[in-house]
Amino acid sequence: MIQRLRREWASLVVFSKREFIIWSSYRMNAWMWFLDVLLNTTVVFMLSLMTRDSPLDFAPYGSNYVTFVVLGFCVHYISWTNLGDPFKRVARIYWGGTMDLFLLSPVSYLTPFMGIMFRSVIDDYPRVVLSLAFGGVFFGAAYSASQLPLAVLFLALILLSTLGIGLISASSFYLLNFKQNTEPVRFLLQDVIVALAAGYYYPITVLPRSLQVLGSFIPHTYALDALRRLVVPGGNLTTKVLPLQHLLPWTPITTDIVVLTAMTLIALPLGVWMYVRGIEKARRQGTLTRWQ
Amino acid sequence: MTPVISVQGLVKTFRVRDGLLRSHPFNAVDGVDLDISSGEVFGLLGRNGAGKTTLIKMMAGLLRPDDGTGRVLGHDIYRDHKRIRASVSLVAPTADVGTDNNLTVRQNLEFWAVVYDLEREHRDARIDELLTFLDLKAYEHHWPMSISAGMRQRLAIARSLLVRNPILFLDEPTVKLDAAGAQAVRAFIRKINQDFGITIVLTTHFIFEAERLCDRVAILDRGKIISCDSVTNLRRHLQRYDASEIVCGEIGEDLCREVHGRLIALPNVVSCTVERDRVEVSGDPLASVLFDVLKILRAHGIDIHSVDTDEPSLEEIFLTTVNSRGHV
Amino acid sequence: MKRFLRASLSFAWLELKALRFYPVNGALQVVQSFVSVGIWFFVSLLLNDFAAPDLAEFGGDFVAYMVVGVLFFQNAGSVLNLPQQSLATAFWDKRLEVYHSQRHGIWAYVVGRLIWAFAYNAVMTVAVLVFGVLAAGVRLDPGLPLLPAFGFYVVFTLTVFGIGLIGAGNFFFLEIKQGREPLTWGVNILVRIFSGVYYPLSIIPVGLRWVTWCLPHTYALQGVRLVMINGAGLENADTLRAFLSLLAFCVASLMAGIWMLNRGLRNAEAGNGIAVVG
Repeated sequence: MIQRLRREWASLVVFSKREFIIWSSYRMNAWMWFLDVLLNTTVVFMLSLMTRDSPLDFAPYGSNYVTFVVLGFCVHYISWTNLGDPFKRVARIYWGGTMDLFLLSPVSYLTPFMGIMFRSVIDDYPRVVLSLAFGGVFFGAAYSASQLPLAVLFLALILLSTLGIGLISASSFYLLNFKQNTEPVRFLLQDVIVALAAGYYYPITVLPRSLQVLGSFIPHTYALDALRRLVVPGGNLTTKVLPLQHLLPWTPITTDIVVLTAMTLIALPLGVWMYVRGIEKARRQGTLTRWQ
Repeated sequence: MTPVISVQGLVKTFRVRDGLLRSHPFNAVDGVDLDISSGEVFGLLGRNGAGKTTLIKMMAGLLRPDDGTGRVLGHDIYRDHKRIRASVSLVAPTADVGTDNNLTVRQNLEFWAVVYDLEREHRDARIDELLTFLDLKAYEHHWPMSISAGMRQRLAIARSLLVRNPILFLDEPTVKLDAAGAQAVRAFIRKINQDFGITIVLTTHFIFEAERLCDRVAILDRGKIISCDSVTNLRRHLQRYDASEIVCGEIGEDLCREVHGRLIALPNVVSCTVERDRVEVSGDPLASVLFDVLKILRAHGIDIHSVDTDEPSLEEIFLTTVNSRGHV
Repeated sequence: MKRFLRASLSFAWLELKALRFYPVNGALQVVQSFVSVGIWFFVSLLLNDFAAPDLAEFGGDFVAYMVVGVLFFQNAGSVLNLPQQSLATAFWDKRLEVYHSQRHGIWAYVVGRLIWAFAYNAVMTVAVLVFGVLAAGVRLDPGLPLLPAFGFYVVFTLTVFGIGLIGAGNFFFLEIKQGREPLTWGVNILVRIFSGVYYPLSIIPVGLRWVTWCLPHTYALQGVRLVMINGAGLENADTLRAFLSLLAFCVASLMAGIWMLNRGLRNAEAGNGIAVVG
């Protein structure tokens, strides 16, 4: 077992190295990557200038719009990789014809997929730090560190829950044979529901009731609610905002932890199971790679 | 000796869509029996769509059969497919599959060496050995897109040899190469078999390639094996024997009859024609009769101008065999 | 000219065919257009009261300001990237040389894709605006003059197409065959910050406003907002000024773009060629 884990780890490391070499070989892209984060934060800052004369009240999320949105960016970048990327990576393995070669190696089904995802990890995870840094250094974002461990817990939960959903999305490549089409799980969740209802740029109280209820089904809503209460100066831990918070008798943070944990515990194992089932189905149908 | 690959009645059915909601089954492999011995170079010959790739993928554990039984290196192809996959290597028709253009030749091999779990202490030595063996040492720090397709195919072969698995599947390894590149790859295939004793299963639709490389050849057509034997035996089975045409000085009518009688009586002569200025004789094998034929002609004072021999090629065998099943 | 148009229309028809072959993709693209405008719609709802003082020119209506701006900016973005992406797609699919070897060269292909993008974006613009007005309460002038609106749309599309062609020239000059092209990327950055896509121009620091007036998007968005929110036609001095400025940009960018791409092609022919090697 130890040997197996060591082998999987060694393979993950070598995949990561490879992806890093590829990522860094496009130097222009690296600069653009850096400036993209700066640009996004700049736009938010400029929007916040409109509130310069009369501060915006985001109760219970404080009043700093830049901090509010920067935290949205953090969750967005994590989700973009974990939820949005897996399907594309599986597609890349398929179209590159390398799934057969990976299966002929002793590594598990998941290792090549996670290894290839590392390119997005390099691309997006550091943007979390960059956003926070740019926001704080240039654009007046302020952060409260008093609840840092809890904030890190929520980041970890959103990371794992979105990875689980991403695996479910990736499994559809083989399970549902979405080879040429845009993958609907990822699209509906990431590009529609999360984009509109998670509240990256605005509190969800701005949304009509129906969209707020829709937002109750995604982990992002709870992660953002919690992070903003915990990290934005002046954040309020007691005022209920989300539909589910109103329904349950617990404090908002407790509701967020419970729901996010439940989503993680469902999505992650389900995602792994579906992904493995997808590969087995492809092995039966002869659709592992495009080389047939 | 126990064969390293033994399959019986293998079937693989795909569903082919022929409408928005309609599909029909298509047997890509339709009841294949095969035994392959250790150390053999075994060819699977057939047209495009004959089922060659489907068959080797089933044998490599990458595709689950729908019927039939089989064992590869003693492992059951249904229950132990993971063990089979861990024990075999495979090279795809396209050289670029598995080759990363952002890594140098050596870096590509280093990457796969880890993924294939080659022990760290052996990695560098094994990579050096393979680069030298496949004449890629001078290019180890080149980018894959800056070397020829033939070299990239050799890189793919090197990758497949990182871990010395006992069976190597090569799926049309020269199909996308020019003549020089293909020739080089064929030479290496033979060398791999001779130097490392690896059993090689090779699919090809180049008949001359199967003829040159393979100890035995199975002709696959529409998912079935229609012939499986050595090239020599395939020829014999087809009753196509080596023949020789001897152009000679004029032979009179009476002498024709006498010479014909002498020649046809020779052991191993299958057929014989004596005409005014030529003699055609086929033998099984020809080499054992040709000397005696020439002796007889000389003994009768017949001048010999030229001797041409003709071996029926595997192409003739293939086309005859396949055409007899109704293809044009 | 007729033959060139026919060839271009063939390529446009191919795009339509692709959509019909993968209808789910098409449907999802449509949804995405609505969603991306929808996000900014909600942002504008949140900040409407704060932006109102800076938008007196448009009746203080930040929602309409934002929706119209984002919609046209998105359309422009797709056309801006179109030439370079078209070349890249055809290059990696090994079709570029085939296209280049036909009578009208790559131009029929690129223009064909432009025709498709133009038609698609036009339909989507109308659909999103109708939805916005009817379902989301976005306020546009009920008597908005259609001809000036269409005129701005056409000229704006051609302007960004010209800039995109300049960027496409870099496909050959700078050998940027993958990833983002720096010129169009740079233009996109400047536009997003300085052209008033997401916020009123008065928010931009005074010392940097000169950048604003160097970008064609500024005139396009200003003009199209005047037409759609205020109902101002070309008889309005501000609208006319915006239109003429945009027209000047259009002529310049098209000329530069056509020259750059042709030059790039000639460079490629003399050098490594147009196709993937090997």
